[in-house]
Amino acid sequence: MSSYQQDNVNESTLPNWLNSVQQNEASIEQEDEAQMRLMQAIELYEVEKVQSPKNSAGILAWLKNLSPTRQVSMAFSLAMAAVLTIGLTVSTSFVTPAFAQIQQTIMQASSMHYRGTMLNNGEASMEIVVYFQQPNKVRIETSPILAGSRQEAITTILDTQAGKGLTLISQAKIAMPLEFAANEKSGLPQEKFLNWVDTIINYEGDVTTLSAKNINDVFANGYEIYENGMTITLWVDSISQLPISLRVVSDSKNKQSSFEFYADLRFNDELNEDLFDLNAQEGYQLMLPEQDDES
Amino acid sequence: MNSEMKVNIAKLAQKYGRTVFQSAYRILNDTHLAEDVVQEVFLKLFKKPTESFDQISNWHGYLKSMTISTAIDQLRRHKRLAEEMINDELQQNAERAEQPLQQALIQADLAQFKNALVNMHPQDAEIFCLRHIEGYSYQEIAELVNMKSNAVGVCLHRTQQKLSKQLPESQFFGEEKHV
Repeated sequence: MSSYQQDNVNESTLPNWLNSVQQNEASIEQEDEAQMRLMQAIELYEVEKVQSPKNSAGILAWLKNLSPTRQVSMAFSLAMAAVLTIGLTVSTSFVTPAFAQIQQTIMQASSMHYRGTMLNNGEASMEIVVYFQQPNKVRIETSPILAGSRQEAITTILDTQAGKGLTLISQAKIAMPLEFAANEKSGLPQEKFLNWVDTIINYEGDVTTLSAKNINDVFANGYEIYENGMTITLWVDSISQLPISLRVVSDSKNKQSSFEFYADLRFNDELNEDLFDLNAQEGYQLMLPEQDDES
Repeated sequence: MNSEMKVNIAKLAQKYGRTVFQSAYRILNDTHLAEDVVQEVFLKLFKKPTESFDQISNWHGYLKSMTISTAIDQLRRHKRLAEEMINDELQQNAERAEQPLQQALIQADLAQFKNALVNMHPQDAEIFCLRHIEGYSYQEIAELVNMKSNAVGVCLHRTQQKLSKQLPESQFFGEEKHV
Protein backbone atom coordinates (compact mmCIF):
# COMPACT_ATOMS: atom_id res chain seq x y z
CA MET A 1 0.00 0.00 0.00
CA SER A 2 1.45 3.36 -0.92
CA SER A 3 2.02 6.11 1.60
CA TYR A 4 -0.65 8.37 0.19
CA GLN A 5 -3.27 5.60 0.42
CA GLN A 6 -2.31 5.05 4.05
CA ASP A 7 -2.60 8.75 4.67
CA ASN A 8 -5.92 9.12 2.85
CA VAL A 9 -4.51 11.56 0.42
CA ASN A 10 -6.99 12.83 -2.12
CA GLU A 11 -6.52 10.21 -4.78
CA SER A 12 -8.17 12.24 -7.47
CA THR A 13 -5.13 14.45 -7.88
CA LEU A 14 -2.30 14.17 -5.38
CA PRO A 15 -1.14 10.61 -6.10
CA ASN A 16 -0.68 11.49 -9.72
CA TRP A 17 1.56 14.36 -8.83
CA LEU A 18 3.49 12.14 -6.53
CA ASN A 19 3.99 9.60 -9.28
CA SER A 20 5.52 12.27 -11.44
CA VAL A 21 7.87 13.35 -8.68
CA GLN A 22 8.80 9.82 -7.63
CA GLN A 23 9.60 8.85 -11.20
CA ASN A 24 11.77 11.86 -11.70
CA GLU A 25 15.34 10.57 -11.51
CA ALA A 26 18.61 11.85 -12.81
CA SER A 27 20.47 9.59 -15.20
CA ILE A 28 23.31 7.35 -14.08
CA GLU A 29 25.75 9.63 -15.89
CA GLN A 30 24.43 12.68 -14.09
CA GLU A 31 24.61 10.78 -10.82
CA ASP A 32 28.21 9.74 -11.50
CA GLU A 33 29.25 13.28 -12.31
CA ALA A 34 27.53 14.67 -9.24
CA GLN A 35 29.17 12.05 -7.06
CA MET A 36 32.58 12.79 -8.48
CA ARG A 37 32.18 16.52 -7.91
CA LEU A 38 30.88 15.90 -4.40
CA MET A 39 33.98 13.90 -3.53
CA GLN A 40 36.14 16.62 -5.03
CA ALA A 41 34.33 19.31 -3.05
CA ILE A 42 34.89 17.41 0.17
CA GLU A 43 38.46 16.71 -0.69
CA LEU A 44 39.15 20.35 -1.53
CA TYR A 45 37.29 21.73 1.45
CA GLU A 46 39.67 24.02 3.24
CA VAL A 47 40.95 22.49 6.40
CA GLU A 48 42.76 24.12 9.25
CA LYS A 49 46.23 25.19 8.35
CA VAL A 50 48.28 22.08 8.68
CA GLN A 51 51.36 21.85 10.80
CA SER A 52 54.54 22.78 9.12
CA PRO A 53 56.14 19.63 7.83
CA LYS A 54 59.33 20.87 9.45
CA ASN A 55 57.76 20.22 12.81
CA SER A 56 56.26 16.90 11.97
CA ALA A 57 57.44 13.63 13.29
CA GLY A 58 57.30 10.36 11.44
CA ILE A 59 58.67 9.85 8.00
CA LEU A 60 60.22 13.30 7.92
CA ALA A 61 62.14 12.62 11.10
CA TRP A 62 63.35 9.44 9.55
CA LEU A 63 64.37 11.20 6.39
CA LYS A 64 66.43 13.71 8.33
CA ASN A 65 68.45 10.79 9.59
CA LEU A 66 68.70 9.10 6.25
CA SER A 67 72.03 10.08 4.75
CA PRO A 68 73.45 7.74 2.19
CA THR A 69 77.19 7.41 2.30
CA ARG A 70 79.76 6.38 -0.22
CA GLN A 71 79.23 2.81 0.84
CA VAL A 72 75.55 3.15 0.18
CA SER A 73 76.21 4.81 -3.09
CA MET A 74 77.73 1.58 -4.31
CA ALA A 75 74.30 0.18 -4.19
CA PHE A 76 72.91 2.56 -6.78
CA SER A 77 69.46 1.51 -5.74
CA LEU A 78 69.41 3.63 -2.63
CA ALA A 79 69.70 6.86 -4.49
CA MET A 80 66.75 6.03 -6.64
CA ALA A 81 64.61 4.97 -3.74
CA ALA A 82 65.65 7.81 -1.49
CA VAL A 83 64.92 10.19 -4.29
CA LEU A 84 61.40 8.94 -4.56
CA THR A 85 60.87 8.78 -0.84
CA ILE A 86 62.13 12.29 -0.30
CA GLY A 87 60.17 13.50 -3.23
CA LEU A 88 57.01 12.21 -1.69
CA THR A 89 57.49 13.29 1.84
CA VAL A 90 59.64 16.32 2.37
CA SER A 91 57.93 18.95 0.33
CA THR A 92 57.50 21.93 2.61
CA SER A 93 55.56 24.10 0.22
CA PHE A 94 52.13 25.17 1.40
CA VAL A 95 50.65 24.97 -2.04
CA THR A 96 47.00 24.20 -1.43
CA PRO A 97 45.20 22.99 1.66
CA ALA A 98 44.34 19.77 -0.13
CA PHE A 99 47.90 19.09 -1.19
CA ALA A 100 49.31 20.09 2.18
CA GLN A 101 46.81 17.80 3.84
CA ILE A 102 48.09 14.94 1.73
CA GLN A 103 51.65 15.74 2.69
CA GLN A 104 50.71 15.67 6.32
CA THR A 105 48.84 12.40 5.98
CA ILE A 106 51.84 10.82 4.31
CA MET A 107 54.14 11.96 7.05
CA GLN A 108 51.92 10.42 9.67
CA ALA A 109 52.01 7.05 7.96
CA SER A 110 53.50 4.19 9.90
CA SER A 111 54.75 2.38 6.84
CA MET A 112 55.12 2.85 3.12
CA HIS A 113 55.55 0.40 0.32
CA TYR A 114 55.81 1.08 -3.36
CA ARG A 115 56.60 -0.77 -6.52
CA GLY A 116 57.62 1.19 -9.56
CA THR A 117 59.07 1.05 -13.02
CA MET A 118 61.54 3.47 -14.50
CA LEU A 119 61.60 4.12 -18.21
CA ASN A 120 64.22 5.77 -20.34
CA ASN A 121 63.16 6.93 -23.78
CA GLY A 122 59.97 4.96 -23.35
CA GLU A 123 61.66 1.67 -22.53
CA ALA A 124 61.53 0.08 -19.10
CA SER A 125 65.00 0.17 -17.58
CA MET A 126 64.48 -0.73 -13.96
CA GLU A 127 61.96 -2.01 -11.46
CA ILE A 128 62.14 -0.59 -7.96
CA VAL A 129 60.47 -1.87 -4.80
CA VAL A 130 60.74 0.03 -1.54
CA TYR A 131 59.55 -0.79 1.96
CA PHE A 132 59.72 1.70 4.78
CA GLN A 133 58.71 0.98 8.35
CA GLN A 134 58.58 3.67 10.99
CA PRO A 135 60.74 4.85 12.51
CA ASN A 136 64.00 3.63 11.07
CA LYS A 137 63.81 0.72 8.67
CA VAL A 138 64.00 0.72 4.92
CA ARG A 139 64.46 -1.86 2.22
CA ILE A 140 65.10 -1.06 -1.42
CA GLU A 141 65.12 -3.61 -4.20
CA THR A 142 66.20 -2.64 -7.68
CA SER A 143 66.05 -4.91 -10.69
CA PRO A 144 67.64 -3.65 -13.92
CA ILE A 145 65.80 -4.48 -17.10
CA LEU A 146 68.10 -5.33 -19.96
CA ALA A 147 66.73 -5.97 -23.42
CA GLY A 148 63.29 -6.34 -21.91
CA SER A 149 64.48 -8.94 -19.46
CA ARG A 150 64.30 -8.29 -15.74
CA GLN A 151 67.63 -8.99 -14.02
CA GLU A 152 68.13 -10.20 -10.50
CA ALA A 153 67.61 -7.63 -7.80
CA ILE A 154 70.11 -5.68 -5.78
CA THR A 155 68.68 -5.11 -2.32
CA THR A 156 69.70 -2.53 0.24
CA ILE A 157 68.43 -2.77 3.81
CA LEU A 158 69.01 0.08 6.24
CA ASP A 159 68.54 0.75 9.91
CA THR A 160 68.90 4.50 10.01
CA GLN A 161 68.96 4.79 13.79
CA ALA A 162 71.79 2.32 14.05
CA GLY A 163 73.56 3.70 11.00
CA LYS A 164 73.89 0.21 9.62
CA GLY A 165 72.82 -1.49 6.47
CA LEU A 166 73.24 -4.44 4.22
CA THR A 167 73.42 -4.75 0.46
CA LEU A 168 72.46 -8.05 -1.09
CA ILE A 169 73.50 -8.81 -4.65
CA SER A 170 71.37 -11.79 -5.43
CA GLN A 171 73.00 -12.79 -8.70
CA ALA A 172 76.46 -13.10 -7.11
CA LYS A 173 75.06 -14.14 -3.73
CA ILE A 174 77.14 -11.48 -2.03
CA ALA A 175 76.13 -9.62 1.12
CA MET A 176 77.87 -6.34 1.96
CA PRO A 177 77.35 -4.73 5.38
CA LEU A 178 77.22 -0.94 5.39
CA GLU A 179 77.88 1.72 7.96
CA PHE A 180 76.97 5.30 7.41
CA ALA A 181 76.93 8.60 9.27
CA ALA A 182 74.34 11.32 9.31
CA ASN A 183 74.53 14.38 7.08
CA GLU A 184 76.85 12.91 4.52
CA LYS A 185 75.23 13.61 1.20
CA SER A 186 78.07 13.64 -1.26
CA GLY A 187 78.86 10.84 -3.59
CA LEU A 188 75.36 9.93 -4.53
CA PRO A 189 75.10 8.19 -7.85
CA GLN A 190 72.55 9.18 -10.42
CA GLU A 191 72.61 12.77 -9.27
CA LYS A 192 70.56 13.84 -12.19
CA PHE A 193 67.56 12.34 -10.44
CA LEU A 194 68.10 14.62 -7.48
CA ASN A 195 67.11 17.52 -9.70
CA TRP A 196 63.52 16.51 -9.53
CA VAL A 197 63.75 15.81 -5.82
CA ASP A 198 64.82 19.40 -5.30
CA THR A 199 62.00 20.47 -7.51
CA ILE A 200 59.43 18.88 -5.24
CA ILE A 201 61.06 19.94 -2.00
CA ASN A 202 61.20 23.56 -3.02
CA TYR A 203 58.00 23.62 -5.01
CA GLU A 204 55.81 26.63 -4.26
CA GLY A 205 53.77 26.94 -7.40
CA ASP A 206 50.28 25.93 -8.33
CA VAL A 207 48.94 22.44 -7.97
CA THR A 208 46.70 21.34 -10.79
CA THR A 209 43.77 19.28 -9.64
CA LEU A 210 42.89 16.57 -12.13
CA SER A 211 39.54 14.95 -12.66
CA ALA A 212 39.02 12.20 -10.15
CA LYS A 213 38.98 8.63 -11.37
CA ASN A 214 38.72 5.09 -10.14
CA ILE A 215 42.00 3.21 -9.81
CA ASN A 216 41.53 -0.43 -8.88
CA ASP A 217 38.13 0.39 -7.38
CA VAL A 218 39.54 3.25 -5.35
CA PHE A 219 38.11 6.70 -5.95
CA ALA A 220 41.21 8.81 -6.43
CA ASN A 221 41.86 12.52 -6.80
CA GLY A 222 44.69 13.62 -9.04
CA TYR A 223 47.27 16.35 -8.47
CA GLU A 224 49.90 17.52 -10.88
CA ILE A 225 52.82 19.85 -10.45
CA TYR A 226 55.31 20.95 -13.04
CA GLU A 227 58.66 22.66 -12.70
CA ASN A 228 62.16 22.44 -14.08
CA GLY A 229 61.15 20.09 -16.81
CA MET A 230 59.39 17.52 -14.68
CA THR A 231 55.72 16.74 -14.36
CA ILE A 232 54.81 14.88 -11.20
CA THR A 233 51.35 13.38 -10.93
CA LEU A 234 49.97 11.92 -7.74
CA TRP A 235 46.71 10.00 -7.45
CA VAL A 236 45.36 10.09 -3.92
CA ASP A 237 42.74 7.90 -2.28
CA SER A 238 39.89 10.28 -1.54
CA ILE A 239 39.16 8.61 1.78
CA SER A 240 42.56 7.87 3.27
CA GLN A 241 44.17 10.95 1.68
CA LEU A 242 47.18 8.80 0.86
CA PRO A 243 48.73 8.47 -2.59
CA ILE A 244 48.12 5.25 -4.40
CA SER A 245 49.83 6.05 -7.65
CA LEU A 246 52.72 8.27 -8.74
CA ARG A 247 54.06 9.25 -12.12
CA VAL A 248 57.08 11.39 -12.85
CA VAL A 249 57.86 12.45 -16.40
CA SER A 250 60.75 14.58 -17.54
CA ASP A 251 60.28 17.06 -20.31
CA SER A 252 62.14 15.52 -23.21
CA LYS A 253 62.62 18.92 -24.84
CA ASN A 254 65.03 19.94 -22.10
CA LYS A 255 66.75 16.62 -21.71
CA GLN A 256 68.92 14.53 -23.88
CA SER A 257 66.73 11.59 -23.04
CA SER A 258 63.27 11.38 -21.58
CA PHE A 259 62.77 9.86 -18.16
CA GLU A 260 59.59 8.44 -16.73
CA PHE A 261 58.83 6.76 -13.47
CA TYR A 262 55.55 5.37 -12.27
CA ALA A 263 54.73 3.50 -9.11
CA ASP A 264 51.90 2.02 -7.11
CA LEU A 265 52.06 3.07 -3.49
CA ARG A 266 50.68 1.63 -0.29
CA PHE A 267 50.75 3.06 3.20
CA ASN A 268 50.20 1.77 6.71
CA ASP A 269 50.49 -1.90 5.81
CA GLU A 270 52.00 -4.18 8.42
CA LEU A 271 55.35 -5.14 6.97
CA ASN A 272 57.10 -8.39 7.74
CA GLU A 273 60.09 -7.85 10.04
CA ASP A 274 62.13 -10.25 7.91
CA LEU A 275 62.23 -7.64 5.18
CA PHE A 276 64.56 -5.56 7.35
CA ASP A 277 66.85 -8.31 8.63
CA LEU A 278 70.42 -7.01 8.58
CA ASN A 279 71.92 -10.46 8.87
CA ALA A 280 73.24 -11.97 5.67
CA GLN A 281 70.84 -14.54 4.39
CA GLU A 282 71.78 -18.16 4.10
CA GLY A 283 73.75 -18.86 0.94
CA TYR A 284 75.20 -15.36 0.74
CA GLN A 285 78.93 -14.70 1.04
CA LEU A 286 79.62 -11.89 3.48
CA MET A 287 81.91 -9.23 2.02
CA LEU A 288 83.13 -6.55 4.41
CA PRO A 289 83.55 -2.95 3.15
CA GLU A 290 87.38 -3.17 3.42
CA GLN A 291 87.38 -6.12 1.06
CA ASP A 292 85.38 -4.14 -1.43
CA ASP A 293 87.68 -1.10 -1.20
CA GLU A 294 90.70 -3.23 -1.87
CA SER A 295 89.14 -4.77 -4.88
CA MET B 1 38.14 19.98 12.40
CA ASN B 2 40.71 17.42 11.52
CA SER B 3 41.60 15.01 8.80
CA GLU B 4 39.72 12.23 10.58
CA MET B 5 36.51 14.19 10.23
CA LYS B 6 37.22 14.72 6.58
CA VAL B 7 37.73 11.02 6.12
CA ASN B 8 34.47 10.30 7.91
CA ILE B 9 32.56 12.78 5.78
CA ALA B 10 34.12 11.34 2.63
CA LYS B 11 32.99 7.89 3.72
CA LEU B 12 29.46 9.16 4.25
CA ALA B 13 29.54 10.83 0.85
CA GLN B 14 30.69 7.64 -0.82
CA LYS B 15 27.94 5.67 0.85
CA TYR B 16 25.04 8.09 0.60
CA GLY B 17 26.07 10.72 -1.95
CA ARG B 18 24.20 9.19 -4.87
CA THR B 19 20.94 8.53 -3.10
CA VAL B 20 21.00 11.99 -1.59
CA PHE B 21 21.63 13.49 -5.01
CA GLN B 22 18.58 11.70 -6.41
CA SER B 23 16.46 12.99 -3.55
CA ALA B 24 17.53 16.55 -4.29
CA TYR B 25 16.98 16.03 -7.99
CA ARG B 26 13.43 14.75 -7.51
CA ILE B 27 12.51 17.96 -5.77
CA LEU B 28 14.52 20.41 -7.84
CA ASN B 29 14.42 18.69 -11.22
CA ASP B 30 17.74 20.31 -12.05
CA THR B 31 21.10 18.55 -11.89
CA HIS B 32 23.10 21.69 -11.15
CA LEU B 33 20.85 22.80 -8.33
CA ALA B 34 20.72 19.26 -6.97
CA GLU B 35 24.52 19.10 -6.97
CA ASP B 36 24.67 22.40 -5.13
CA VAL B 37 22.31 21.08 -2.51
CA VAL B 38 24.19 17.83 -2.01
CA GLN B 39 27.50 19.61 -1.66
CA GLU B 40 25.96 22.08 0.77
CA VAL B 41 24.61 19.21 2.86
CA PHE B 42 27.90 17.39 3.11
CA LEU B 43 30.00 20.51 3.62
CA LYS B 44 27.66 21.55 6.43
CA LEU B 45 28.83 18.45 8.25
CA PHE B 46 32.23 20.04 8.65
CA LYS B 47 30.63 22.62 10.93
CA LYS B 48 29.24 19.99 13.26
CA PRO B 49 31.06 19.16 16.48
CA THR B 50 32.95 15.92 16.10
CA GLU B 51 31.18 14.40 19.10
CA SER B 52 27.76 14.86 17.49
CA PHE B 53 28.67 12.41 14.73
CA ASP B 54 28.44 9.54 17.17
CA GLN B 55 24.95 10.58 18.18
CA ILE B 56 23.49 10.09 14.71
CA SER B 57 22.31 6.52 14.29
CA ASN B 58 20.38 6.91 11.06
CA TRP B 59 22.73 8.66 8.67
CA HIS B 60 20.63 7.75 5.67
CA GLY B 61 17.59 9.47 7.11
CA TYR B 62 19.57 12.32 8.57
CA LEU B 63 21.18 13.18 5.26
CA LYS B 64 17.95 12.81 3.32
CA SER B 65 16.18 15.05 5.78
CA MET B 66 18.94 17.65 5.45
CA THR B 67 18.85 17.34 1.69
CA ILE B 68 15.12 17.83 1.43
CA SER B 69 15.21 20.75 3.81
CA THR B 70 18.07 22.35 1.87
CA ALA B 71 16.38 21.69 -1.47
CA ILE B 72 13.19 23.35 -0.27
CA ASP B 73 15.26 26.29 0.98
CA GLN B 74 16.80 26.42 -2.44
CA LEU B 75 13.38 26.52 -4.06
CA ARG B 76 12.24 29.25 -1.71
CA ARG B 77 15.36 31.31 -2.30
CA HIS B 78 14.70 31.10 -5.99
CA LYS B 79 10.96 31.37 -5.78
CA ARG B 80 10.61 34.13 -8.28
CA LEU B 81 13.13 32.52 -10.52
CA ALA B 82 11.40 29.16 -10.15
CA GLU B 83 8.12 30.61 -11.26
CA GLU B 84 9.77 32.16 -14.26
CA MET B 85 11.48 28.90 -15.05
CA ILE B 86 8.35 26.84 -15.24
CA ASN B 87 7.42 27.83 -18.74
CA ASP B 88 11.03 27.72 -19.93
CA GLU B 89 11.50 24.23 -18.51
CA LEU B 90 8.35 23.02 -20.14
CA GLN B 91 9.42 24.24 -23.50
CA GLN B 92 13.04 23.09 -23.26
CA ASN B 93 12.23 19.65 -21.92
CA ALA B 94 9.58 19.13 -24.50
CA GLU B 95 12.06 19.93 -27.25
CA ARG B 96 14.68 17.54 -25.84
CA ALA B 97 12.48 14.63 -24.99
CA GLU B 98 12.12 11.57 -27.17
CA GLN B 99 8.42 11.69 -26.45
CA PRO B 100 7.95 15.44 -26.32
CA LEU B 101 4.31 15.58 -25.35
CA GLN B 102 4.53 12.96 -22.60
CA GLN B 103 7.71 14.46 -21.23
CA ALA B 104 6.30 17.93 -21.32
CA LEU B 105 3.29 16.86 -19.29
CA ILE B 106 5.46 15.22 -16.64
CA GLN B 107 7.60 18.34 -16.50
CA ALA B 108 4.48 20.39 -16.07
CA ASP B 109 3.54 18.27 -13.07
CA LEU B 110 6.99 18.69 -11.57
CA ALA B 111 7.07 22.41 -12.10
CA GLN B 112 3.65 22.87 -10.51
CA PHE B 113 4.69 20.64 -7.63
CA LYS B 114 7.81 22.71 -6.99
CA ASN B 115 5.69 25.80 -6.96
CA ALA B 116 3.34 24.26 -4.44
CA LEU B 117 6.22 23.24 -2.17
CA VAL B 118 7.51 26.77 -2.13
CA ASN B 119 4.16 28.03 -0.88
CA MET B 120 4.07 25.58 2.03
CA HIS B 121 5.61 26.02 5.45
CA PRO B 122 9.19 24.67 5.10
CA GLN B 123 8.81 22.02 7.76
CA ASP B 124 5.45 20.88 6.38
CA ALA B 125 7.02 20.57 2.97
CA GLU B 126 9.94 18.62 4.37
CA ILE B 127 7.72 16.19 6.23
CA PHE B 128 5.53 15.71 3.19
CA CYS B 129 8.54 14.88 1.01
CA LEU B 130 10.02 12.53 3.57
CA ARG B 131 6.73 10.67 3.74
CA HIS B 132 5.47 10.63 0.20
CA ILE B 133 8.61 10.90 -1.89
CA GLU B 134 11.14 9.12 0.28
CA GLY B 135 8.70 6.74 1.95
CA TYR B 136 9.73 7.15 5.58
CA SER B 137 7.38 6.00 8.35
CA TYR B 138 5.76 8.42 10.77
CA GLN B 139 8.07 7.21 13.50
CA GLU B 140 11.20 7.67 11.39
CA ILE B 141 10.10 11.16 10.38
CA ALA B 142 9.30 12.02 13.97
CA GLU B 143 12.83 11.11 14.96
CA LEU B 144 14.37 12.96 12.06
CA VAL B 145 12.52 16.23 12.61
CA ASN B 146 12.37 15.90 16.39
CA MET B 147 8.59 15.77 16.64
CA LYS B 148 6.08 13.35 18.08
CA SER B 149 4.67 10.78 15.73
CA ASN B 150 1.13 12.10 16.19
CA ALA B 151 2.25 15.59 15.31
CA VAL B 152 3.78 14.27 12.12
CA GLY B 153 0.43 12.73 11.19
CA VAL B 154 -1.42 15.96 11.83
CA CYS B 155 1.10 17.90 9.83
CA LEU B 156 0.85 15.49 6.92
CA HIS B 157 -2.92 15.60 6.86
CA ARG B 158 -2.94 19.38 6.86
CA THR B 159 -0.30 19.55 4.15
CA GLN B 160 -2.01 17.02 1.95
CA GLN B 161 -5.27 18.91 2.11
CA LYS B 162 -3.56 22.12 1.17
CA LEU B 163 -1.69 20.49 -1.65
CA SER B 164 -4.76 18.78 -3.04
CA LYS B 165 -6.44 22.15 -3.29
CA GLN B 166 -3.44 23.89 -4.73
CA LEU B 167 -2.48 21.39 -7.33
CA PRO B 168 -4.57 21.06 -10.43
CA GLU B 169 -5.06 17.61 -11.84
CA SER B 170 -1.89 15.99 -13.04
CA GLN B 171 -1.15 16.88 -16.62
CA PHE B 172 0.38 13.55 -17.41
CA PHE B 173 -1.24 11.02 -15.11
CA GLY B 174 -4.48 12.93 -15.12
CA GLU B 175 -4.63 12.64 -18.89
CA GLU B 176 -3.79 8.93 -18.74
CA LYS B 177 -6.56 8.34 -16.29
CA HIS B 178 -9.10 9.65 -18.73
CA VAL B 179 -7.85 7.60 -21.64
